[in-house]
Amino acid sequence: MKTNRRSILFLTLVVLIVLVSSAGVSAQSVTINWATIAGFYTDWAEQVAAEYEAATGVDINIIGIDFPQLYQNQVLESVADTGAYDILTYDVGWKAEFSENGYLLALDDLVAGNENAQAVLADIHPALLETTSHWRGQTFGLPYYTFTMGNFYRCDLYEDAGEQAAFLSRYGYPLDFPRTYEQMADIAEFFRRAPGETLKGETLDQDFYGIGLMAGRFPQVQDEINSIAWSWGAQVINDDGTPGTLSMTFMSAMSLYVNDLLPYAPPGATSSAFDEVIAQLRQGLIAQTGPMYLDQFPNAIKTEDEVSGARVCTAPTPGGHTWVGAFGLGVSADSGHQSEAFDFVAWLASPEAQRRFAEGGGSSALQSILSDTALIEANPRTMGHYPTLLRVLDHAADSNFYPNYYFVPQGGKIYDEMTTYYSAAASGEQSIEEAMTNFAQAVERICNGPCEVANDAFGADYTPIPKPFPYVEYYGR
Amino acid sequence: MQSAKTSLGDVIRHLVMLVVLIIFLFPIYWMIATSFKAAPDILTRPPTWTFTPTLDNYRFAFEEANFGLYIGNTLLVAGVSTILVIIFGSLASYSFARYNPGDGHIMFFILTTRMMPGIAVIIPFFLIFREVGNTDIGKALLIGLDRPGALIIVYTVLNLPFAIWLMHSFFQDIPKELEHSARLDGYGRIQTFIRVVLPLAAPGIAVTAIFSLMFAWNEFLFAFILTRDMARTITVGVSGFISQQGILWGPLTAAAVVCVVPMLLFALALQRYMVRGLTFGAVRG
Amino acid sequence: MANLADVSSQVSTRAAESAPPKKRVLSDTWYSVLLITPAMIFIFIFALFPLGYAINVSLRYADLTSPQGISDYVGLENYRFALNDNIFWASVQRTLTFGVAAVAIEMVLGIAIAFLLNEIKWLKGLARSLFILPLAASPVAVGLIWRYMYHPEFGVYNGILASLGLPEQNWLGSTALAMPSVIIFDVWQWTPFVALIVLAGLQALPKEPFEAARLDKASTWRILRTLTFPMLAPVLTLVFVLRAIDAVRLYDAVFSLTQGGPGQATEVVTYYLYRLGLRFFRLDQSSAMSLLFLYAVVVFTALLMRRFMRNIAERARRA
Repeated sequence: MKTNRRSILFLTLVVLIVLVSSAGVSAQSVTINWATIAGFYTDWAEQVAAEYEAATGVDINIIGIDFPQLYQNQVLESVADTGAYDILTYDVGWKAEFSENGYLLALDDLVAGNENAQAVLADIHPALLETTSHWRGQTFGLPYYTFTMGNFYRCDLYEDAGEQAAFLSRYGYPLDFPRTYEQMADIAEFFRRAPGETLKGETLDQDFYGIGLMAGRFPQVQDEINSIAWSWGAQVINDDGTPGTLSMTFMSAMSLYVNDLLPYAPPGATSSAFDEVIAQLRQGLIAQTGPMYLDQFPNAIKTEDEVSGARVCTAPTPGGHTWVGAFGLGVSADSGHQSEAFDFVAWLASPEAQRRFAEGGGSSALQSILSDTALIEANPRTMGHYPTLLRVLDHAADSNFYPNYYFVPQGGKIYDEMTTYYSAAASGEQSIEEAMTNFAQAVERICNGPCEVANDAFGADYTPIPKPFPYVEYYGR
Repeated sequence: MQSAKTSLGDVIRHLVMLVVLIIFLFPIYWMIATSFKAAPDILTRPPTWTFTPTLDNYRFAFEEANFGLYIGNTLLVAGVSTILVIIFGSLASYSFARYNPGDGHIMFFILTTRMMPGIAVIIPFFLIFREVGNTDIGKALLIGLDRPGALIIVYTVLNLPFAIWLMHSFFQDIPKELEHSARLDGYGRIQTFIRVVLPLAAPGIAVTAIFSLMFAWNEFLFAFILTRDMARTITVGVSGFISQQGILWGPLTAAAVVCVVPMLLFALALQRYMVRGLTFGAVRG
Repeated sequence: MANLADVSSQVSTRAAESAPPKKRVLSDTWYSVLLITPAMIFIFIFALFPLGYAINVSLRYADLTSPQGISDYVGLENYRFALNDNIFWASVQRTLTFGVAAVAIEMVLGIAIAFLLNEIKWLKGLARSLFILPLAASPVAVGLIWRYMYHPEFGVYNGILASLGLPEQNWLGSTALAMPSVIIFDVWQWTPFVALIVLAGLQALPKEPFEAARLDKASTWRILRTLTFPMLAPVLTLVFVLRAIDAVRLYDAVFSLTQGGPGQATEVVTYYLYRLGLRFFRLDQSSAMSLLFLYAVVVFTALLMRRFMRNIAERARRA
């Protein structure tokens, strides 16, 4: 009996060892290891990869890594030259760091020999090309997914005659999506209702909030606050590389966020991330979001099914200048199959693959897809935000407005410290001044003095200056 | 005297126990309940208590992620490292309990190896296994980055101090007289250890095995840094549901349930060994 | 289940058929060294190498993301930096707050539950197994689930409070409540650990002294004070030390519950070291701080366990 059990255990172990080791012995063909974000349109990625495998005979191995760990995992493997990944996935803030430190391969030679890639590069929106592909005049990757920000709001509430009249008499201007952050604050205040008060003429049985904010210590609080600061002409990193968060303008942007927006958000805002804000919208708890990733549209639109009478619309963030970025795909400098890896990257970014990405709910980086009216009309629930998205991107490109922060080689680390200190100010753990002073010190520590701002591609005396958003031409949804 | 009061005291004790159990098990219940909820029932205000159960989350978890492989890897890594820990740990622990080599200093030194923050040693481990993985020995024994052998070694090292210390008091409690009589009866040292000492230390060994296995089963940081794909374990798989589309609560809870159930079964299976069925009083007396 | 009767009968039957006692090949000392060798080899190779690596790096300039990577020796510069780093010391303070509160509550609750488990009659085995559940759940996964349960709008705890008419709490989002919420989570997960080990210790206690005391009509309190606790002391010390060591190394719970937030309200030492080492890749500074941390824990444990170690040595000598 006992011997029996022991031998079963032993056999199981042997079988497991064989299974595991056989999994490691792969076929003769080339395998491309693609490190990417887990659960992130995995269906799409697997499907396109399978087709690519069938067409080319190159094996694609998708390695999903949860987003909070993606940065350190890729850096560690790159620093140690393990060659484990052929394709790296990077956030816009990491681009400079990955390129500067040689984790990513400069793609210019490979692009020169690849007509497909040249066509893709010509199609990528110029704003995204600047923020996610280019570094010191070279190309380091292709964006395939943009999370550029906009404003989601409950247009059924904004269009309600009773609410409109009340808003006009209280604030002296008509209720519509906000053109300035002060208006956003007014709307947030206006729609904050206690149980027993009415909304759209109906009595509420629970609290209703004027705005949903992602003010927790998650890497989103800075995207909201920087949007305000950038629209007002403040900088996280000044032209000379010193931290800009102690300027009067930056601190008043911070103060508007903490004192004029946050009080009208659900109390959970200080521990919320973006998915909780979308959940608040879908539960009918909030009237609008702050600056929010437009790629969340396919989730946000579900509010219309879940809250009776609700409609969700998108608009640019007030002033239109915001976090413009995308996830990019680049080829690892350690890869043993650089040209095969690049071919696959070019295929993922191509109109053919991107079209299917868009239909499945992804936000494409290609102008041809973003402006394909017929496609958008055919897919209103996955692509309904495209017109707004395109306007925000166009505005960045037209104004030639790219904040210095995008061009600092330590961008990924600074991003992490923003989360810490912006959240400290939002939660009241530190005063705004205290938090911004601490942040400035942290930045100086990371850069060892003033940071380098490598935006020479725009000319030696380039300064990003925000331009007013052309609202007259904008219709919104 | 005791029995006269039994009924009332017992009822109260059981009631208190029941309340304590409910408090401690509620989060587990909530996790299991959430894993059977459809997506719209998960983030609701107020929370949903009654719902139509669905298996969608489990289907999603197994289809999206390679959970079969992760479970196999975890079984292998946690199982082998626990066996190693118990073998090496019980030998060492017994030695310390009986003979105290190093006069306590070695034993204290062993404990200190557990005090280093994992963060500080993870990069050295990464570099060691990068090198070992490129050698023939590393390849043959599956030791290297993204190989199960690496995690087996790490978990054995991390669990050994704990195991040696935990089993120590159990070995010390075994009366020396029993071993003497076994030796007089013609047992060799090793035989005495295996046939007499080990069975008597069963509760301690069972507790140690449970905790070692649980630690290895649930460890996240080393598993995450030292594996990528092939040798990935289940906790890393669970964290894969923290996606850029938000945390996928349904599949995450389903995966977490799948992760916990084997541990529960293991604990139930070993639980009878945890009862010490004899007293030493007679011998000691 | 092996019991004494089985073992002794085995011993005597074996004795009848087996040869006279074998000769001693090894002295006790060599035998004891032989027994610890496998474990020591493991520990020497795989625990000392990373330690040596950390010491080496802590004396150099090492920013893994800089082009130089691990470069020149800088003497004690990193230690000087660590000692002057306010963020480090603030995080040390948070770790101490957490450790003292969590371990104290866990010890008291755990011991109480162990006594309760020891006394109950029905379904004892089942209750004991169910208590393993919080421990068996992966801290990262179950931490996320607690984050969900703590959520102010969608969480079940506020749901329960609201239905009882009590004010809802901003568990993880308010500076004041975040640390207590992390402590509650840790207490939930680790109290069963204390309870189960103390229970194993309780069950290992000899019965005779207690029966004798009861015959003498000693009060329950006196039995506890003069018999139970003194006899449990080694187990209690051990559990306390193991919990204390783990509590100051807290990482998983903070990682999945708060990421150190809001602000820095729950940024404990290990989380700060994690950011420094694995997000900023300042291996030099994080190694120096880790070594200071290690030194502090070793000294603290050594002081705490002096008596315990002496007892162990004495008992081994007596045996």
